[in-house]
Amino acid sequence: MNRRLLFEEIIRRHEKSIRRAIRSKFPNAMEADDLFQELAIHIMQKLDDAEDDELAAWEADAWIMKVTANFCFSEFRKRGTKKRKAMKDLPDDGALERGAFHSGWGNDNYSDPSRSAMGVDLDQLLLDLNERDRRIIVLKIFDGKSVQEIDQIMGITNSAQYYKRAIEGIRRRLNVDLYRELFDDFFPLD
Amino acid sequence: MKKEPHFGDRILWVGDKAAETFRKTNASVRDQFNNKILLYENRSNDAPEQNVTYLKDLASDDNMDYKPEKLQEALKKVMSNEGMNKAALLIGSSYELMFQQLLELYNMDHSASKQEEVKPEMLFSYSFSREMDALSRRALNPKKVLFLHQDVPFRDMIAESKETMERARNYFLQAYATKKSETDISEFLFRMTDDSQNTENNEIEKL
Repeated sequence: MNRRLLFEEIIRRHEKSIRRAIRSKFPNAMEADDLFQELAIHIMQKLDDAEDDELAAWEADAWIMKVTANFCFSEFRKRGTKKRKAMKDLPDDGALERGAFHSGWGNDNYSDPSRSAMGVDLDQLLLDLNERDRRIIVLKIFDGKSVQEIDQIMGITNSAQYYKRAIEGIRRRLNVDLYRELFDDFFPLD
Repeated sequence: MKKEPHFGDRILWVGDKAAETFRKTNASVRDQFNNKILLYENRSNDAPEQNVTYLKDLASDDNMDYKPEKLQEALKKVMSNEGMNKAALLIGSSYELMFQQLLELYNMDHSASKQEEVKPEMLFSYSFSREMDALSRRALNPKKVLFLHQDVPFRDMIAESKETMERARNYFLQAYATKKSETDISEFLFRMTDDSQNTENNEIEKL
């Protein structure tokens, strides 16, 4: 099967919603544009590597938004690590934002960004949740489901409340402002 | 001796899959026809090929969305301006949204003809269609359509592709489909040059 043609079709159909999703996490237009290019390559690789059976369970838009959400989250972690490392040496957060961080701060090789302090903390905090709350968060943030869809999948009527309570609980346990700032960007309260 | 292409021999190749198939088709066979290729946009930096029309270049909006209503709007314009509605054979893959929307235009035209109501806004060319009665408008539709098979793994795209083929069967005199993704359609086209009634073969079925 010619996955390249499929890739072209999918990107055309979903380019605007992918760009919107990226911009909601990374408001800087140039950065978002670069990320879109990176994500397009990532999507092409995912399509090439995936088995037909694996994709057959999905609708194209749900699949592409899941890949987009995972990609954004991964990029988000990378940037969180870079920002914290940079802040150690440069106390002026504003200068850092304007200069080094957004212009490609540092050339360090972060061999495994998912093991960043932010990553470990979040992983652990999510694991500390009960199964129901964790599932709701995964469905909402990573699978992009609406409240109604989550209610339907979980067989409940108040997933929005559980979600809000769980997010607030995690947020309270993040005792560093920077973590909270990053967390709020990725895990909106509503 | 090479047969001179004429009005009835025009083939309209629509979309990426069709363009790819065009390039893989035996040149001596395909050159028997007056080929027009319709693509959404020019993704390479190469100069556009002579027989290729890019839908996006003709759209009124530079940032045209790849959405059904926008595609239809642009397709109407192309079909009236470029004389593409005179094709004898339409080739494309039913999973591509642009091809689906082109078929949808034919569907509208066909429905309008059946109801014998003149709805100029639905037709490809207002000035042209106004002069035509329902019967002759229907005769403008390509007589044949060839659906190019493409394996698509996503369930929603599979469903819409099947639905498109099902619906389109009703408004073409003959509808064919390739059975595999990499089918060589040279033989199919060759038989068309002979006006053969039997254009089916092991890799192409009549719907």
